[in-house]
Amino acid sequence: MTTSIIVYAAAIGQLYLLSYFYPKQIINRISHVLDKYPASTHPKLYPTENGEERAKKGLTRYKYITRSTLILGIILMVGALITKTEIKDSMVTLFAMLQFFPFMLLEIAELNHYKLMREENKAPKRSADLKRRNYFDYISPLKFSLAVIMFGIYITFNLYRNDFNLSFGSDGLITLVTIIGVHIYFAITVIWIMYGKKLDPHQEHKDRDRHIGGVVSTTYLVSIAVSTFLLIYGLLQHYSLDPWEPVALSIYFQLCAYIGLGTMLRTNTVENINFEVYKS
Amino acid sequence: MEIVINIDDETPLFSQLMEQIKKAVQSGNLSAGDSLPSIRQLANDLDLNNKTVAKAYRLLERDEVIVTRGYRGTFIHEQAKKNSDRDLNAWVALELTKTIDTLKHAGAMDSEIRIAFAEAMKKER
Repeated sequence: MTTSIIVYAAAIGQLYLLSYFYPKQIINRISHVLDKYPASTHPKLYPTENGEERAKKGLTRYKYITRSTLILGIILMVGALITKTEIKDSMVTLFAMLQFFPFMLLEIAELNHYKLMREENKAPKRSADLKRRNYFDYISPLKFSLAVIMFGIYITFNLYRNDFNLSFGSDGLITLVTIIGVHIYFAITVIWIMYGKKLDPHQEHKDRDRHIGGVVSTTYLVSIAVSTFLLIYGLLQHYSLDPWEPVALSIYFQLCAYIGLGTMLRTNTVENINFEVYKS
Repeated sequence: MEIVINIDDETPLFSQLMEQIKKAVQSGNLSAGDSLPSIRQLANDLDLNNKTVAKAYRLLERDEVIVTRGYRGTFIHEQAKKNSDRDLNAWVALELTKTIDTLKHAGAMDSEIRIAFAEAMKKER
């Protein structure tokens, strides 16, 4: 009974954080930018004709999608309570994927917006900071070593739990390949954001630096969260504490949202961004 | 320290990069041992071809304004301040003008000078 209450509490927390709290923060942020920096005063912020209208329509679509997810979540939760259905870890994962989907759409829309900005940018003058960007400018080697240690602990634990059996198709090998794949993805993201093409052609150097810092911190914290979660999840399976698995999964997804979205929203506040660069 | 290039300017882009790095050294904005961005980073930040930045870096290295230390990156040379005053292009133009004057004074014709210059360049290769 106690376990069920905790599972429901975790699921409600997940529903609140991923389908209400963060979407609301994002909607408020975009609305604030649209109101305070319109196309009439900041044309470079809206690269296409009717760019402001398009942005407003996009925001409305985003509102509908997140609200639909929230309503669906409430219906599922009430339905599960009435029918006394046990919430399984697969249900938590599937619903989290659905909750993360609007954020993914938003990310794609943002990248498309930057692409249009670059295409529209006809300014003959281009500037760059004459300073080499280094990973450790954004995160201390001590903090970085903590992520490496956590990664090492999980790998060792995974090998031990699977009796050092890494034969083709074994659980140990699949988990190992997955976690290494996730970290390769993080590394590529960081390299791309640090040394790749400037996404926003008008962005001030210090704003870009802050954005890079946010991405580096997020990937670093998510790396620790992934290793820690997999370690806890493995321990729960090892000690046959299966009923706690949905709780661990739900907390993990909430933590990922807090780290991923929360860090970006906290480090890159609208007040800190220089919008003067988007004036004509 | 910010670097600004103008793609509409008649001065080649690699020359604009070289001039600004040299000016930054002369003004003290860049000192010996300071690190410079990698070729890829600077090219992407300025939306230029990697080859343009690589050419500027190669010529600055030749002039001993910068030094490349393998994977550790590119740094300002110890003697950069002294060397950034040197303009090899201007020196080449001056020396050639002097030589052409001497040859013409001796009675050589333009076509003879051109052929001899082309031959000398071929031998160098």
